[in-house]
Formats: sequence, C-alpha cells, structure tokens
Amino acid sequence: MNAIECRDVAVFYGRRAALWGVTCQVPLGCLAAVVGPNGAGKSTFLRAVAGLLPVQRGEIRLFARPIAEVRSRISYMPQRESVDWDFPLTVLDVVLMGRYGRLKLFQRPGRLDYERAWEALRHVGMEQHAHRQLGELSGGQQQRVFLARALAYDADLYLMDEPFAGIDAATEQVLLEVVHELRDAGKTVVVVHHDLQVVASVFEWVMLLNLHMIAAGPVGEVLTAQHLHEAYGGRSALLSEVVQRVALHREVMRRKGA
Amino acid sequence: MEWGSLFHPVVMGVLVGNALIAVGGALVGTFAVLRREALFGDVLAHAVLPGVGLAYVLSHRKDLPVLVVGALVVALIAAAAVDLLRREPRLREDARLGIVLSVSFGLGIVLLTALQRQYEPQQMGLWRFLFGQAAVVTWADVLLIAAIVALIIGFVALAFKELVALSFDAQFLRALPLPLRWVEMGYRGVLVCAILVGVQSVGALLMVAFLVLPPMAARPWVRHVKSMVIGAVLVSLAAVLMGVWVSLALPRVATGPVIVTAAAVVVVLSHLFAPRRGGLAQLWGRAARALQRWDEHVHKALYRIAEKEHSEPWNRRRLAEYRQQGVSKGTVVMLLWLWLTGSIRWHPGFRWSITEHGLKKAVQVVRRHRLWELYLERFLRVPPERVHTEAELIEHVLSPELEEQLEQMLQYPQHDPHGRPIPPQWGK
Ligand SMILES: Nc1ncnc2c1ncn2[C@@H]1O[C@H](COP(=O)(O)OP(=O)(O)OP(=O)(O)O)[C@@H](O)[C@H]1O
Ligand SMILES: [Mg+2]
Repeated sequence: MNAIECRDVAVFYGRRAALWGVTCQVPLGCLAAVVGPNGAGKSTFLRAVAGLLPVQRGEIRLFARPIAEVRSRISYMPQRESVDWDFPLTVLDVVLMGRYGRLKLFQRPGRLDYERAWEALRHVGMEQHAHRQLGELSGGQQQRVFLARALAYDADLYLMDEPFAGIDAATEQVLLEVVHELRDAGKTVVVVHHDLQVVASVFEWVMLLNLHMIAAGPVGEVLTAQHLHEAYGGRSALLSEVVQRVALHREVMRRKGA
Repeated sequence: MEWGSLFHPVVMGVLVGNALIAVGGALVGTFAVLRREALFGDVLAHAVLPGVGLAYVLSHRKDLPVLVVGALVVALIAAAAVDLLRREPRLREDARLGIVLSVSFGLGIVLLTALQRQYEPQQMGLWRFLFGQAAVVTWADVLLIAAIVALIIGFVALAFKELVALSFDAQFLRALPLPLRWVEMGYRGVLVCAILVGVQSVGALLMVAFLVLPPMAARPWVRHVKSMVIGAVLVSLAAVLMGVWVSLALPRVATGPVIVTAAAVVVVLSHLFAPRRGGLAQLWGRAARALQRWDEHVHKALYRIAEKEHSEPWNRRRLAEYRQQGVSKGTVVMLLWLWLTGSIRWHPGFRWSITEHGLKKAVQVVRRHRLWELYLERFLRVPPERVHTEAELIEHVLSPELEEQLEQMLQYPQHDPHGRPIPPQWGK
C-alpha cells in the first residue's frame, strides 16, 4: 500500500494552474522530499495532499482512501512564515493545538493532551521555553514549536513545508533526528526541501516538481542531470500556455482521473 | 442632565444597555483584530444602514427588534456578496471589501434620504444609525441587547479554543478532522450580532473603530488572548460610558465620535506607557543606553589618566584632553557626575583622583575595549588603525560571559594591537 497516491492531479488558483497532470506515489514508511524551483507548486502540492485545496482534476488517495476519511492520520506543518508570530500565546498553547484533532469540537484538552504536548516539547528540546511568548522566539525555535505541534498530533503521515529553511545547525540536527525517528517508527514523512545535497544524502524518495511531476521515485533514479535540467531550466512555457487554454474547457476539467 | 440623575431608571437603562454593547464589541473585536479582518466588520456595519431602511419601509415601525431583523438580513447578504466576489481571483481582497462596503452604504443613504423626504420629520430617528445616539436605549431595548450579548458571550466561551487557533493558524486547523464550518459560521454570526447592537450607539461609520480600538489598546500589555479579551472589555466599557455621559449631558452631540475618540486616546496612552513595547519605555531604554555609553567613555578617560598619573591628583584640564575619545565638552558636568556616582575623590584646590569604585568600572570598560580590538585584528583582519573606532561601540554591549569567551579565544592576551596592556579582571 502507498501512503500517497496521486493520479493526474491538477490544482488551479483561479485560472492559473499551480499543478497539472501530477501523478506520483509515496510508499508507506519512507522519507520523501519534494524538490523544485520557487513557484513550482511544492506548497500547493502539500496543501492539496493535506486536503486544504480543492483538486479540480484527478484524484489523491492517502492510505488507499479518500483524504476526508483519513484526516485523523495526517499532520500538516505549514511554512513558518505563513503565520504571525507576534501573537499573544505561549509555546505550550501552540503545541496543544496539535491535540485539537484528537478532541471533539469545543472539548477542552485533558491530562493526556497536556502530557503529549510536554512530551513533544521535550522531544524537540523546547521544554524550558514552554511558557515563553511566541514573539520572543528565534526562527529556529519557531520551527521547533511547529514540529512539536505536529508531533503532538501523533499521525501516520507528516507533511512538512520547508522546515529546514532559515534554521541553525542545532535545530537542523534536531529536525533530522526527529524525522528519522518518525521513519523508523513506520511513519511516512514528506518534506519540501531546497538543498539538493541534503536531499541526496538524507532522503530515500524524491519528487521533482515544476508545474507537473518531472520525476518521482528513489533518489538515485530521480536526481539525474537530465531531470534537474528539466526542473530548474525554467517552467515550460508551452505547457503553461496549453494548460491555461485547457482550463477554459469545462469537460476536460471535470474528468476525474485519467 | 445632572449627575444626580444617574440612578434614574431611564438613565440606568441607557447605562446597562451600553455596557452590554461594549462587552459584545470587545469580545468580537479581539478576534477581528487577531484574524486581521477588521475591514470585513466595516462592511457589515455599513450594511446595517440599508437594513434598517428596508425594515422601516416594509413595516413602518422603528422599534429596535424590527430594525435589528432588517439589519441582520442585509448584513448577511453583504457577507455572502463578499464570499461571492472571493470566487473572482483577479480581484484583491481590499477591492472586494471596498465594493460591497460602498454599494451597501450608497443604498442605505438613498433609502434613508428618500424616507426623510416622504415622511418627515419623525423618521429622523433612523439617522442615529449613521453616527450613533447612545441615550435613546430603552429598557425594552436592553432586554433585546442583553439576549444578543448573552449569545455572543456564550459562543465565544464555548468556542474559545477553536477561535484562537483559527486566528493563529487556520491552515493547520483546517487539515484536522474537525467540523470547523460551524465555528466559522458562528463567528460570523456573533460578528454581525455585535455590530447590530453596537451600531445604534456608535453609528455605522465608526463601528469598525469601536471593534478594533479596545483590543489594540490592550495588546501591548498582555501575554495571552484571554487577558487581551479582558483588557479590551475594560477599555470598551470606559469608552462607551464616556460616550453615554456626554450624550446625556449634551443631547445634540452624536455619541459615536465621542466613544471612538475616547478609545483612540486610550490606544495612544496605552502604546506610550506600556512596559517594554511602549514608546516611553523604548525612549527611556535609548536614553539609558546613551547615558551608559557616555559614562563608560568617561571612565575610559579616567583610566588613561590613572595610567599616566598613578595616584597623583589631577585637575579639570587633564580630563578635557580626551575629547576626541568620546569625552565631550562640559567637563564640569562630567566631574560632578563622576563625583556624585562615587568614581572620583575631591582634593584641595579642585584636584581629583580616581576611587576604587571608579577604577573597577574603568578597568572593565578598558578590558573589553582592548580585548575587542585584538579580536578584530586577529579574527576579522581589521587593520590596526581602524580597530579603535570599531571597538568604541562594542565595548558597551559585551556581557561578562562574552568577555570571558573572548579572552579564552584570544588565549588570555597581555597587550592590545597598539601595544597597550590589557588590564586583568578586577580582583585577579
Ligand atoms: N493563494 C494563491 N492565489 C493565487 N496564486 C497562488 C496562490 N498560492 C500560490 N499561487 C501561485 O501558484 C504557484 C505555485 O505556488 P507554490 O506556493 O505552491 O510554490 P512553491 O513551489 O511552494 O514555491 P516556494 O519555493 O517559493 O515556496 C506560484 O506561481 C504562485 O504564484
Ligand atoms: Mg512554498
């Protein structure tokens, strides 16, 4: 069984395509990287897999089921810059949010939830900062808080958007350790990453993206000079143009899968 | 009206009604601020005008329940219109909100002016929704307001954790298996409710300020959303009661502007006096740092003098020789300061010498200065003739821990790049 299976997925913002014809799989229990230039659609891909964006065409299945049925098994970690860190909350409050998915609507977190939150904080080495204000954290500490929140949820599939961006060596070490521990515990981890060197040495599975999926598979097969040139040599103007025109035809858009 | 009449039943009704309005506005306003959605509230407030106009045209009555229903319907239509425009990705959010706001306001003005022509003059009562008139709240209105505000308090208490989490990171929450649609709908509902009851006191034009200013005033003082809500309620109550008082004393003055001006004054004062984040605290910090720099420069000069004169007393002119090194003019002030802070001792004939306290302080500055000079030269390869100016600033910011690290890295040096001795730590 695959953790993620995408068939011919297209996602549009208005009339502009961010993803087109994306077909790929991520095997269960592997460490996968999503790689591609800026604006390639990496964040869009992750958000579509997390069920945050409507998929206009094609289908995404997680653990061989529709996303809506397995939401309790996926943990999404947005880009750090996507939130306002000058927010009147403490670190512990944010990590507790990781438990909200295990609670009913309006239900208060209980003892177990606090225990799990503290555990996650210890895991990322932030327990001494639990009662700090968010506004007082450094970039690396913010990233650790986000990681702790994702861990507190205790999911089977982790989707992390650029967790390695703008952090120091110590935080990178913590992140790598946690990611490996998750993988060893049989979880699947998908990470958007910009450093091809790290990707080649740390990850097992790579998805090379630029509007469409240029290649997806084991690191050795994907990171070839040919593929990289295709991905980073600029977005195919022809494909963008064709996709824009195709988007006007409702029949094409409505087709589910290919 | 006089203060004695404060306990008159009519006045009490006005006070209670407006206090409730303040509480509702502050609760919802806090989340509008945290979600950065203040302008959306502005749209809803402006949609109240055509709402009350329409309600009056259809029912020919102007008691509050009827008008509230009309306003509710039209506000929800306006919200739906914003949602509809959100499907057009080429429009930006400010354009969408601007369009709906202006159109509903325009419609409202058309309706109200037409009504005014047709049935003067008692319909003038509708105009109070434009600028607000706090003093016309009756006990019957209070019951309705209380019911609506109870609804707001109940919802915010129930959904507090979800509302906070949605304000902070909606994307993360939406990926969870939670039926958040109910929370979002509920939030929109209480936003409309708070605006409906608020508009009659504050007026549609200034409603957004009434929502946003109290939480803004509370923000620099608080560390948690809970305290932000409480702070906003207090500020809002103060502003509204101020408005009521003016409204009772000067019936011709519209209340909305008074309330909003009072709240704005609190915002300015709050941001001036807040600890750490406040303007005064920052000014004070800057002044304190400038004083520290000056004080340390003067001590450095004292050290140089002591190096040359040993323990011989010296006179004022001796200090003035160090002008280029940050010792400014006004040696009299300087000597007075040093004497008052116990760094120098007086000798007959207005001659001075450094005290142990002064020497201790001076040694510390000179040590840091010379260590940093050496570090600049050795590690950053700054040419020796430039290290002095660069070290002038850094010497004030080095902590004892950094100083120790520095010394370790430089392997406990004896001399700075100019060949002058680096004094050992005091007491060693
Ligand atoms: N909310 C949005 N509305 C409209 N267009 C969007 C939106 N979000 C992203 N896009 C566009 O979709 C494309 C893909 O964006 P996406 O954020 O997925 O790229 P990315 O690969 O994550 O880039 P980066 O490396 O900069 O994070 C870009 O061209 C971007 O401009
Ligand atoms: Mg991105």
